[in-house]
This record gives sequence, structure tokens and C-alpha cells, in this order.
Amino acid sequence: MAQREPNEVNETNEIVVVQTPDPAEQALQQEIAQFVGFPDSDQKKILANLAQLHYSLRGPEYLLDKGNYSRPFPQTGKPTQTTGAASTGVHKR
Amino acid sequence: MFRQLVTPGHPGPILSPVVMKNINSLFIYHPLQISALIETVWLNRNNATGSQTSYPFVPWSPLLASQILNAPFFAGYDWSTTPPKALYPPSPYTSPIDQPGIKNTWNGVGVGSPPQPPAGSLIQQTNWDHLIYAYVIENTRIFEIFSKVLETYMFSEQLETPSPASQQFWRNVEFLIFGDAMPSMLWTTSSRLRRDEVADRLTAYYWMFGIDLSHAQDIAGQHPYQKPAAANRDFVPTFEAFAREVWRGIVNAKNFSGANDTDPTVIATLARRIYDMMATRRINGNLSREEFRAVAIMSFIHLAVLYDSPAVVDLKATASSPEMRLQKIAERVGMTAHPKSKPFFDLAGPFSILMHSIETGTFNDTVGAQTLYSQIAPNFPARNAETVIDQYTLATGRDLKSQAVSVVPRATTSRLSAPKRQVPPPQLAATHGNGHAHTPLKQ
Repeated sequence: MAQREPNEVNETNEIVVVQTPDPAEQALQQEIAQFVGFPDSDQKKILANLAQLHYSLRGPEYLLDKGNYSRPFPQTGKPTQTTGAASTGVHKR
Repeated sequence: MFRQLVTPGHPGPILSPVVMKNINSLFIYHPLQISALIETVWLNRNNATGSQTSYPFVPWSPLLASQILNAPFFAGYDWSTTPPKALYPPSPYTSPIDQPGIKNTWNGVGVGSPPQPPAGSLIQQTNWDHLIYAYVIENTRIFEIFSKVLETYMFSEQLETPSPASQQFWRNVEFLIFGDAMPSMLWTTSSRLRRDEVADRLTAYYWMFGIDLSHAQDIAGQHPYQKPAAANRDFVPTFEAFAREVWRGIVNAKNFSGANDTDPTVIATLARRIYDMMATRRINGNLSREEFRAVAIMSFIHLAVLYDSPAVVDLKATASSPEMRLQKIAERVGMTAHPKSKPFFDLAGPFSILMHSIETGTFNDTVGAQTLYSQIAPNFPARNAETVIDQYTLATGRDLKSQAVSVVPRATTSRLSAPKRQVPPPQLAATHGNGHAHTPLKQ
């Protein structure tokens, strides 16, 4: 099966969100880990158990879509008229 | 409990319709189907054994519950066709046996005597929220508001007639939450001895956390309740001290310079203190059924305001958040929700996870305590603890991010006493021979 690109649109016209590890983020975490240390084997075991617990208690709140109420941003690619304090001053008078 | 029941195992961005379908279906099940779901969730619990605080109570047999879960329940027949057509719930619909929380549950038919689940069974453990979840959710006054709405529907036409889906939801609310439950059911905790369920819950809250609901004074008149002498009255101060220490850890874990006053030993000690408080109340599964019922009831009505459910739509209370929906519902019946409902709703789930984690004993030593504030991925325990601290502060107004200040008298050396002066002895006044003082003559 071919690897999907991030945010690729699939056959049913849905956006497929593929989370790929960000190299910059990984590098930053390694940088931080130099100061505060990596979790040792005991802590890894504890974290694995806690992950199971968190998973077993998950609720539906984070799955319910809350985005339908947001005001949309102006569409890009169209000239938009800005007025007042928000004016960038690029429009000629 | 119902929160976990309807939540799919593989979260993703396009699952909103699936979750809504599961919840909408749950609301229109027959009360017997919901009863079978409740018994099955308890049957598959993860802590039936293995600890002195495991829950020993026996639920319905899976042979019985699975038959109900698999049985066809429908409204009646459409007699316009021959043969008549059974009127099943309209699509989309999730049947009880397909709810994610109990998927692959065992039907009780197995090999051996007594029968055991077959090899390769995909049965999965269930878990439900801590009693703190029920306490926090009930503080929004959601229970009283839903009670008032139901009463208004029953005795007046002040509200619009609800839709069929909404009618079925309110039927379940009435019979499962406010009705006399079946004595054979595990979650039935009321009896002739303890008739008042609200009072029982208030007692359980006081028992476990040493605190009352914020509106306890308003309802105590109608629901007089007992305060057990052996209650965890130290819970709140101990938890707040614990949360403050965890916050110091989070702050210092994000800082790379300056003094680090994080003390994992103190965190572990306070976690152990809370652990012991909870374990002492829970020995041999004590209060487990009361907790189960309280959490189940609150989660059922909590789900109803998590989205624009049929009940919310019929009450013209659609909104963009649970607290706004609840407030609009409350206004329809002349009530008001708690003004801090937003932090209460946001606190309930994470607080439940944190309390569960503490009760596992994970944080009772310094190694485990460090996971509460470590920022190294995966840092989900720290993120959860941070959410609890944030929302607790917003909900209660007590700032857990400031360091506790205590007035301690300074140790001082004892003062040297001042040298004593030699005071001349008082002179006796000259007296007459008769004992009266001499009075000088006026000049």
C-alpha cells in the first residue's frame, strides 16, 4: 500500500490526516532530554501502565466536533478590503 | 461509565458522526437493554480481583445479558404490508452489542464446567470514572436541572412536546435514574432503608472527599443526609498541597536555569496519603456500587449536553459548549446552572484520571512521582495534571499555582533581663498615735 502524503484527499473526498514525526520536534526533545534526562526502564514501565489507564478512561469529548461554530477566515487569493485599525496600508487610496 | 461505553477505540478526526450515532442510539434503547449494558460493563470490569479493594459483587450472567443485548427490540409493526414489517430504530443506529465499550463481550457459552471464555476470545476489560467525576459534574447542578425539566414535561405543557427520540431519552432518564430500579440489578443502591438517592450520593461524597456539593445547602432540606464520622476530611487540604508540589515540578521541568525546588519525595508522600485515604474507604469493594451508579447517572446526562442531542434540540438549547447548553436548558425551567460550569466540565474527566492514577499507587515513590511533572515525551501524565491544576483553580478560586505561605514564628534567643535597680524601700508615712495619717496644715 502506498504511503499517503500528509493531508492527502482520498477517494471519498475526505482529507486524510497523516501525522508524521517532525524532525525538528524530535531534535528539540533530544535537546531537552540532555538537561532533564530520558525516562529509565522503570519510568517507561510506569508510563506504559498509565497509558493503559488513560486509554481505558477516555471519553468522547475530544471526538465531538466543536469546529463548526468557528467564524471562517477570509478566503485567500481574493483581494480583501481592510479598513480601520486592521489596515495593513498596502491598499492604495 | 457511559462515556467510555460509547467511545470508539481508535480516535480520529472523522469520528464525530460515529460517536454521535453511538450516543443517540444509547438514548433510545429500551430500559432493559440499558440495564443489560450496565451489568455487562460491571461484569467485564478490570478490577474484579487482584487487590484488597477489588469489587466482589456478582452481576447478571453473561448468558442472560448477552441474550438481551442481542435480542431484537423494536417499536411495533407496520401492518400496511403483508407480512407486517417490524419497525426498528431508524438508521444510523448502533445496536447495544456493538457499543465500543463492550465489543466482543463473552456470551456465556463456553467449554468446561463451569464454562470459561473460549481460547482466542477478544473480550476486553472495562473501566469507569472515579467518584470525583460524579462529584464535579453534579456541582454544575445538571442533576437538579434535568430533574426539573422532566418534572415540567410530566406535569405541564410549558415546554414544547418533545420529538420521539427525545421522548425515549426522557423515558430512560425517568425509569433508570429517577425510578425504582430492579432489585436484581447491580447498580440498584436504594432500598426501603435508604430511599433517597440524592442523599446517598451526598453521603458518599462526604465520605470519600470530606466535602459537600456547592449547592448542598439548597438541596439538603429536601434530601437530609448523613455525614459519616470516619470521612476523608483531610482530602482537600492534602490534595491541594499535592497539586501545588506537582505544579512546582512542572514549572521547574520547563525551566533550565534558576533554583529547582521540586521535591519528588514530598509529592510521593502526599500521593501516598491520598492513596491511603481512598484505599481505607474502599476495602473489600466498599462503596464500589455507589460509585458505579453515581458515575453512570452523571455520565448519562453529561452525554446529553456534550453535543446538540435530540433532548437539547427539543429544548431549544443548542449551543457550542456543554455549559452553554446546560445554562439554556436551565433557563427554560427557571433555574440557573453553576456559573463555573465550564471549568467543572473540563475538570471532571482529567480529575478522574488523576485520582485513578493515584489509587494505583504509581506515585507513591519518587520514581513514579517524577512522571507527574516530567516534560519528556510521552508526558501525558504531566499534561493531565496540569489540566487538573488549571481547571481546579478556575473552578474553586483557590490558586494552586502559588506557593503556600505559612506563618512560622522566628526562632530567637531568649532576651537578657534588664538589670534590676535598687529601689529604696517606701517610707512609711508619719502617723499619729491614733493611726490616722498626718495631714499637713494648709498655709
